[in-house]
Amino acid sequence: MNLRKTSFFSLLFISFLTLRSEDPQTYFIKNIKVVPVSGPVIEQGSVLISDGLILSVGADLKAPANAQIVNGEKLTLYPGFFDAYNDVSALAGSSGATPATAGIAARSTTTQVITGPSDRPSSNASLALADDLRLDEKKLEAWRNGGFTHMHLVTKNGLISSRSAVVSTAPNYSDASLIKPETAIALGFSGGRDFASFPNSLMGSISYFRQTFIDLAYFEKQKETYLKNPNGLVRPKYDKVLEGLAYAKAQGLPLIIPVTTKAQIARTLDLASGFGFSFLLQGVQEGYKASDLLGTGRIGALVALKWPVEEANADPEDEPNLRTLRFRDQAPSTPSVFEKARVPFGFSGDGITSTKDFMAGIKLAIDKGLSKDAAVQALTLAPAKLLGLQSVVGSIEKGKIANLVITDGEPWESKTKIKMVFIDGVKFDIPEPPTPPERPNSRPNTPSGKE
Amino acid sequence: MKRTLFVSLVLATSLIPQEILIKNATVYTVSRAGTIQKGSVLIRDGKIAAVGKDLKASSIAQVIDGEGLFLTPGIIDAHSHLAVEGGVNESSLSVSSIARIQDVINPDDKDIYRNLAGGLTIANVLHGSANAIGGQTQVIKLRYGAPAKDLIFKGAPTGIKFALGENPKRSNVTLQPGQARRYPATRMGVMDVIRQAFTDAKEYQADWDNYRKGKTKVTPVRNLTLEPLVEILEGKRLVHAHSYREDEIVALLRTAEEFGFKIATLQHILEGYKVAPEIQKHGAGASSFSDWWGYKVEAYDAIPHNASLMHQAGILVSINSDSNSEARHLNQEAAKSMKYGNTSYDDALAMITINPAKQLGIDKMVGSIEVGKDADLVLYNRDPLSVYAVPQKVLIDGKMYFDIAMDTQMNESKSKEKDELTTKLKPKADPNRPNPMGARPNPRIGSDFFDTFGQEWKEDLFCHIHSEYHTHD
Amino acid sequence: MNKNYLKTFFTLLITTLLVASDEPITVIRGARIYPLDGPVIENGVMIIQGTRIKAIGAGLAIPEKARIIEAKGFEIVPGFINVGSQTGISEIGSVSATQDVNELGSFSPHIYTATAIHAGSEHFAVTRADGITMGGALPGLTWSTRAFGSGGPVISGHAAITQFSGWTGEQLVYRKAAGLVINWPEATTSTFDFGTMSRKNRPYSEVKAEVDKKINAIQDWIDQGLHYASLKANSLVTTNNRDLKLEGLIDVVEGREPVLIFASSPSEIKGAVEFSLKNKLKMILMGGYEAEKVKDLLKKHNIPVVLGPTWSLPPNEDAPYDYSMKMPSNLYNSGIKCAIATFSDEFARRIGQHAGTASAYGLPKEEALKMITKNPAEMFGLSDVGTLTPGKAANFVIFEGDSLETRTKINAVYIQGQEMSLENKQNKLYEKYLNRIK
Repeated sequence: MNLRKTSFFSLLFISFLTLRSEDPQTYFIKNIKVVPVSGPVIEQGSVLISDGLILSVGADLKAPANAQIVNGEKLTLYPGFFDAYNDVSALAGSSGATPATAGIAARSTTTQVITGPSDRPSSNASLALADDLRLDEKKLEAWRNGGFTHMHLVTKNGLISSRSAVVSTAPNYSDASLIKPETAIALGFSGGRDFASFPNSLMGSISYFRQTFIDLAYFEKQKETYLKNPNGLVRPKYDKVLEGLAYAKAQGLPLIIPVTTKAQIARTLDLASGFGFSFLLQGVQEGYKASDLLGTGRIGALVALKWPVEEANADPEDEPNLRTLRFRDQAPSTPSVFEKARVPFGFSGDGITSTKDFMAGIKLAIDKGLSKDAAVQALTLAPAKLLGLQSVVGSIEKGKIANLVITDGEPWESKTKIKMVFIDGVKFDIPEPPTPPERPNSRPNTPSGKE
Repeated sequence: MKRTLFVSLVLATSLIPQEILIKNATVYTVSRAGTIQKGSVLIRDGKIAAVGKDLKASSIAQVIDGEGLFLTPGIIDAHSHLAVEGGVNESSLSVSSIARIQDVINPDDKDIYRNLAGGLTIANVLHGSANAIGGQTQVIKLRYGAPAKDLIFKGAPTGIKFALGENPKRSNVTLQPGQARRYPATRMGVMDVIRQAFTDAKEYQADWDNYRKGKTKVTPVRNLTLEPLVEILEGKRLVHAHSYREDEIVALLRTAEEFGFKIATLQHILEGYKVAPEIQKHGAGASSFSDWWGYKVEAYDAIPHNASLMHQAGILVSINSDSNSEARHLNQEAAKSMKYGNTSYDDALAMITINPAKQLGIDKMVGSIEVGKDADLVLYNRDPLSVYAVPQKVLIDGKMYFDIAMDTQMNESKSKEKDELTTKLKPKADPNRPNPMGARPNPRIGSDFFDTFGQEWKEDLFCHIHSEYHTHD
Repeated sequence: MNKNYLKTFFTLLITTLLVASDEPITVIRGARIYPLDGPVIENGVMIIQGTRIKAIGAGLAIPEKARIIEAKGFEIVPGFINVGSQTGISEIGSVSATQDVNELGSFSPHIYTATAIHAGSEHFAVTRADGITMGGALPGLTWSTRAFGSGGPVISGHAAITQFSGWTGEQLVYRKAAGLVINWPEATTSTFDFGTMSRKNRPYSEVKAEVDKKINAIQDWIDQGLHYASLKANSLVTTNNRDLKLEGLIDVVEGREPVLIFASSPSEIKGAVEFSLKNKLKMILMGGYEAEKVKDLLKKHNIPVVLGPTWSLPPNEDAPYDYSMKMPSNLYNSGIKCAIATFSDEFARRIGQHAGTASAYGLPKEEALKMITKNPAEMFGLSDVGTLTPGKAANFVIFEGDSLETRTKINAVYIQGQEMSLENKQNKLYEKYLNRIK
């Protein structure tokens, strides 16, 4: 009898165990240094999370009975790291080409001839990336293991991207991982599908945007008037790109515009101010020269951490010019300049595929003067604010999503290890990265076999 | 930081003093005052305050000794592709008037400085010649070091580019696989494109007129392609038409007359000498190369006497460069009109100063050394049309933008800074710290295609070399 | 001996020698003469007869029955020699039917542009009217195709030197095989793709491997050429094994014909120089865009350089603005022998302008003149031209003022003692249309 009871409860317990790793449970993380970001650091603090949300944060909390205890001694708890802008390929599977990504990425095989702006070349505002995302498990794991709990994915190719999405890095990607299915619309200046199509120059792309946003304003008004009373009016011609943009505008989605040089920043600020959209700048690696243009709190930036460096396999005779050298030297000081000028900014991993490189980029920015507090801000809450997620992620506060990361040191230090990650309150223990194999001893083996 | 010191040095020495007095130079005023031996020019707040002999300046004035030197107005290039980022051609459509050069001015283009060193102070930056109707153009002052918006010459009338002949009909371009041939393929097609565009523009103009007069209730949609064309019809935008052959030149003049507008300048106009009376009657200006010929069929009848002959026929003639390289020695190019066709010294000098100023509608502000005009000046060590003349100082709005002595200093300090940075940026061997494969720094912006060559190239040639080295037959 | 007595003696001698021949004598007097193998002569006299310069000097006695040309205030210089051009093998750049510059194939030592000089080309008369009396006809220049990728011929063929006077292409050829053009393989990591209108980058190691492969191929050709030369010397070449390509290499590998190597960057120039030394080739560096960086090497081995237009833009963003303008004086001051050439036809008449600019930026005027006359003549072994020396061909130009100024008109051009017509397509069109507006 006892045996059966024991085995029943054992079975129950075992099944409970297996279920446990998939259901958000109640966790009490204690004795940990808590970096809430929205408030001061709590040296010896605790955090209670349950059902995917943060319930309480403090110094003198008591663990409820049903909570699983996580001992945080000598560890630090941060809000989960947020890559505020990366290409969808950072997480997408190789078969991840979808209408939202493929139609403009590849040189198109359609024979539609572009006769002008009204043909809306390379514009996918009517589509949402979230509709058809196929993410690669290994890639998700890699970012998750690096402490990133959520990422903003964008399709960069083309002139007007599909609506971007913020996803969590939880395994077994499904729609449930979408934190914000419609986040922003990215613009690109690289032109149309191929050389022969409009636009095939930078000024062509710029004029395309100018015309399109004028058309948008006109279209919105025309629709509004028509919907009130269509009788007697010419019906507005269906334009799926304008529909998509109008929808995005109504949702308050910002535009994200890539820039690098000061001249490009100045030009974009001028151009985009007439679009009728809020907007963010991305890349912005010459931002160190242009903080006066961005003003205090006026324009937000997603600073690309892939700092310019000498290429690996370059012609040794190709001396970089002074402008390039200065750029390489000073670009990493952009975050620090922004901090001082109070330009709100997050970090973009655009072009980066390894979290080690992401953190190395932050470390360099800190070496160039960025304060550690500001670095943490830019990794967590600041980008959340810029992308409209400030109520749900980015800090360790009651009511926010339990996306957290536990480290044994400062995130940007190369020797720091990510210990644990919580995504929607589900815990993931992060295994130690495999140590590189022992370097074979260069000394020849002695007959005795000993070194 | 050393760089700050250098910048301060540059700023300090180039601060606009209230007054600058250039004295005892041979002053080529390019005006009725003629050339003044041992003349002086007084600059105040960026404008020419006085011109003459034995001028007096206040005690705080900066004095430049012009003894043995020669002062001219800053050179104006009526056909330039300087300082453009991301391509000078929106070549996909036959009518690309929606594109604007002013949107893509790149202030970091080193060629701005190199052109300054050749005496150039103003450039009419044009869209390329791949389209019958090209993009909107922009006149800039070569204020190297200023942001893009400060390069724009405020007050200069707006312009637009047309192109006729081989380039817009793509006769010298090899199609890429899968690429369809863009209409038009003939000269008559080019003219049709222009006529159709203005027909559309007239319709657009009428729509807006009707709306403004209350005849229609619904606002027309703004069409940024047609708006600049309406501006042409209303005489508010200057047309700069790249043209070669005599037949297409006249055909364009007649088309313009048909639609009621004037062509401001005919550019390159290498067969202009054949139809000088027609051009003169229409009232178009002509901006020609000096002695280019033979690179395309339509340039085969080009003659170096072109500028002189048209000038003799009473046309307003300027000499242009269409090349970042050529723009550095326009004075030598103008001198060639003296050799080919007996243009006088003064008239030749006018072809690169007051004439292009008039063609661009900026002659009230620049183009000659006269009181009230901008202090855009070049100080040479020999007479300005000599091959031996080397610009010593170049001023724009009374501010020194090129100084041959400072150039050497600048090169030295740049060289030093380069060495320092190269050492500083050498990657340290650190096994723990991964070396991120960095992004390629912003590829050379500006006319990087043309920088590649050691020779002199013009944008015009672009369409021709493409076929020479990419034949698929 | 009395000075006057000497003078009279020599005058008599010259007069005698002259009168001895039947050919008409022409005397040009009053001009500033630049013989270039001696000091400038003010108010000089030049006596020509037949195809020869007979005498030059100040205050020479004028022989009787001489045609006298008054040239007061004028300058007389040797006829310009533009060794880097395509005069005669290129008419209209964009029309391939008129172009005989680029033959197919990477290694073409059997190609001689001398066999394709088109006497009917308008370029001869046009360029001659601006003082150019001789030119080069260079095959397969990848100078222009550099940015297009690593395609293009490596050994392009033999360049010819033409003299701009003759009825037929054959008569225009002055030197049939003036040099073998070699485009030194360049490591182009960045090329311009016209398909996408963007730059394409390739890793350096990959590109370097290609370059090395090409250099090895050139070496292979030289080795084979030497072998063939020895076969020929030993009468072992018969109708059965005659190889035209290798035959084209014999003069080159035996050092009688120079190699005209196009190289720009320091590593390319170094590679080319080392290769030439190793194989005992007589090298002339063509282009040498960045030659000043390897001045010492060039000086040490006395490699002459044919520079391109002085008005070329600097090679990189940071180079001083006057980089190319100062290059001639830079190299001259380092003791390197230089010539200046235009490397194109449309600009061929600007050769004087380039020399003038070199002078403006530090090169003494006479040295600038030498770079477009004496120096290219010496480099290419054209011993009969290049200076105004008694006994040499009477190839000269009379300028109505400073010979390097772009505004100076040309009074006359003489080739082989014959005054050339200055009429050409262009001034004929000018005259024609001048009538329209009169």
